[in-house]
Amino acid sequence: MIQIALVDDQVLFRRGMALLLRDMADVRVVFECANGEELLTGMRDNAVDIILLDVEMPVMGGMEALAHLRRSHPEVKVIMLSLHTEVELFVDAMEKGANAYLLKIAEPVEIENAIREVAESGYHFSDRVSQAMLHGLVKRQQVKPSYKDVDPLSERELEVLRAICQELTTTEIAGQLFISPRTVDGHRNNLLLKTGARNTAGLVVYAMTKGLYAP
Amino acid sequence: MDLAYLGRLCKGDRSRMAEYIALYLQEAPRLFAQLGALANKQDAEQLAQTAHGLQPHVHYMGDERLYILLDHIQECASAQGTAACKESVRECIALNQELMHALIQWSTTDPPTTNR
Repeated sequence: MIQIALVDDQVLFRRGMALLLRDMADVRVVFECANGEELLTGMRDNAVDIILLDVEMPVMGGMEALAHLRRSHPEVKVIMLSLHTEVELFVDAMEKGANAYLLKIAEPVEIENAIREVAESGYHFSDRVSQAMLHGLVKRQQVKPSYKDVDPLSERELEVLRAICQELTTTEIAGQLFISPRTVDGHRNNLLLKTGARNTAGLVVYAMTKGLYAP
Repeated sequence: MDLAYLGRLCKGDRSRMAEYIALYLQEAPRLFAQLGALANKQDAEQLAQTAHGLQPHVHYMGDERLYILLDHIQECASAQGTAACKESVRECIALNQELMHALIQWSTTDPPTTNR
């Protein structure tokens, strides 16, 4: 069961999300709240797997709450929600440790898929977000990645990285590369250490920034 | 009004759609009144944020005119201040009244039956 927290200052929007999630048998909404401060309070008493987190909220907005969460609850996955499509926001959210960025007006089926993909593989990029990010990064060419440029990645690490970008699960990567799932996890950990990315979503941004993968 | 998106959100369940619409009918007057009040103040940022916050709700109701007008209000407020937005805000409030009337009609009309 995927435990969800819904965070948005608009009760109408939370109700809409709750209506969608009600149909997902593997999802349970644990609590709802209206800003980042209430979220952090709620996280003390509730076990949550994924937070659906609005970017713009009074008292404490989504980005600030995300920064707090990465210190207090690094294991919790966060799907940012917004109407804004600027690439800088996507990149900022991912670099701060978000696992996905969804438009509030995304199709319901995409929202469902995003929740399941984030739960399974740790990230989700919609086609729209991927294209906008790549377009923005290529156009600007001055995005300074917050990644380390240390040890070069091995051939195997590159293979694992590209497989992660293709949204393959650990089991699928293991099958494709004829290695054990445990070895895949080892490579993923090395990738995180070498690149300085905070999570799998960060690895995808790293790969796109470095030109190692294009969707 | 086009409830296709709401229908997809609610998996075609009319009672769930009615549930959301009832909440919209309850909340929307307050939210649009807030928009109207902000148009008479100097707080362009708050006006833009309030207009922005309304967009997902009108998207669920499939009112594209209202969605585009709320977009315009955000741009107008940011570029020219609240005074320049008053007419657009009035139009927004009027459009929402139309939308609410259509939603009430939908809520009180029996769904079409399938002939066998």
